[in-house]
Amino acid sequence: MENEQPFSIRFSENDQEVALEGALRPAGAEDFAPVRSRLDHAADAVRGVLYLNFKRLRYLNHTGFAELARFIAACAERHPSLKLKLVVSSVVPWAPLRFGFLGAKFGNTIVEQYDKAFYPGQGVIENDRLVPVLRTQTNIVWSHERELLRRHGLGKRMRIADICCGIGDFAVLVYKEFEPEYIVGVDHSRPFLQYAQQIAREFGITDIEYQFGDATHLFLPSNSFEFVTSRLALQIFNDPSSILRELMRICRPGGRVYLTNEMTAHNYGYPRHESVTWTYQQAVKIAQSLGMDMNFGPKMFSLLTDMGFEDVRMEQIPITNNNTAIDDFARVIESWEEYVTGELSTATQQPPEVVERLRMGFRDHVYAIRSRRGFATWPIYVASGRKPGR
Amino acid sequence: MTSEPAPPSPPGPSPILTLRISVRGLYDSWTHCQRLADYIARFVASDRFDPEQLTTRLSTYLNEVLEYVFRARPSEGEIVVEVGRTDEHVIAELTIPTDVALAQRLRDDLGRVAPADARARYEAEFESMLLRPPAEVGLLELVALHGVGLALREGDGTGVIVLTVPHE
Repeated sequence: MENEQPFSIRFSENDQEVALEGALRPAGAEDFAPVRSRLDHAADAVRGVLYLNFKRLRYLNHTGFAELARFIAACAERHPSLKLKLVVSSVVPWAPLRFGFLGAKFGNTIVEQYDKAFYPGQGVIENDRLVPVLRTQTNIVWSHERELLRRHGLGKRMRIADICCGIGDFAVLVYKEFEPEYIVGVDHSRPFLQYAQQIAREFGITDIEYQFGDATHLFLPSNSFEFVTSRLALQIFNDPSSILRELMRICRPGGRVYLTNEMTAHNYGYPRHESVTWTYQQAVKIAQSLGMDMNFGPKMFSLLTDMGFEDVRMEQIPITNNNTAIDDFARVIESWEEYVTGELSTATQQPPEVVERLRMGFRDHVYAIRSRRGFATWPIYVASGRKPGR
Repeated sequence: MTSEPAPPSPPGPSPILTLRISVRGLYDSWTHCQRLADYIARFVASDRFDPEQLTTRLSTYLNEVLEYVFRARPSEGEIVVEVGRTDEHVIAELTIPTDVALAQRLRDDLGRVAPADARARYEAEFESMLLRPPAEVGLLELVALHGVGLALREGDGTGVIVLTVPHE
């Protein structure tokens, strides 16, 4: 993929932020002087905290790094009350090492790893114990999604990006069904990506590219994919718009962005519906405390429309125990039970009685799925929009 | 008395690419260092898991070595870049033409980047670097902060800088 970017530096006085992007590889102080001048101007213009945003700075040579260190040292003398907050992303492999070193050296400097701070539940979501949950979910949803994807514009031999690809199984299924010209999966979980790589290797697939990346700052070129997907992902971020903007950026004009998300509060099971409903509403609240919106599904239509997408299409995948293999459906709910009453409840310090009640609700949902006279649902919302222009 | 057979020597790196660049060609522009580093990195990483991450790392390290060579100004001749891969590492060897003075400089600079004390040395160099960054500190940083291996092998009128980069 070609995605070399020229260097740019922007100062937003309103945000008190200098954003540096691309490749900064000066030959010496003279070469760095225009950058230094912008940094000095920013430091003179603000009070309190100056943010230095390095999230999209892909390359920095040591000369540039030394010049930045000199700027920080000079700031400590010229503006003793000014704090510098260096915002870095672990997606750029050298950044936490170098800026962490600077953070330890200078008292006026704080280093924030952006993608760790982006949403508080990240550590919970990226854990490899989620792999069985994701795998079962994909199995169950794919049988419905396979045809539905065509209605949302996916065709053969397209260039496809699957952002927040998780364990990569959707990319493998799309690869087999739609024979894309090129497909890349991006995720921020190394355990998921390792799993994805292992699966691809076992299936003898060598031409799916997987990248470690941050969905809000992708290292993928603009206007380069005909079909961009992000499935069951926007709901776990506290700022879904910033991801959607990035999906729109990498999508070609005329191409489509395809999203799926849930409305967890509408998961239903009868009989014992009160217990089931309480559990899902409670799960939504717990997730909310970690910055996730598990009821995000129906909001996608507005979000796509507001962002300027055309021909916005939306529908529902109505998974029920009448149209889905009962054992698979039950296994999905059982994996949720394990995840919500385990990892998620621990992370949010739920009292034992709440955990027990949550557990009962999941079990009652499974009961409804398996019962001869029961009815159970798991609605997933699907939306897509066309990027304007040709 | 029976003698044990010698253990087999570990297999060398599988070659990936060899590039020959004229010294004069490199000096045409400072930006040649990064263009070359980016090209080599992208080529080497293209068939690997997460090529973007590996490209970023390789390009960062190769660029630093190429910038060092650019500043060291070897005499006329060719710079040869050979890149290979083992199970664990990508290994890049940059062969540069040397005269007596340059050979001594390489010995001095590369001699200062032994991994055992690289971190302590980098910490010590950091203060002086704020006053005037010496060119070779970039090499020291590769070893001290990034865990990259750097070594010098001397030939007849040449110095070979060996850069060893772990895959992960």
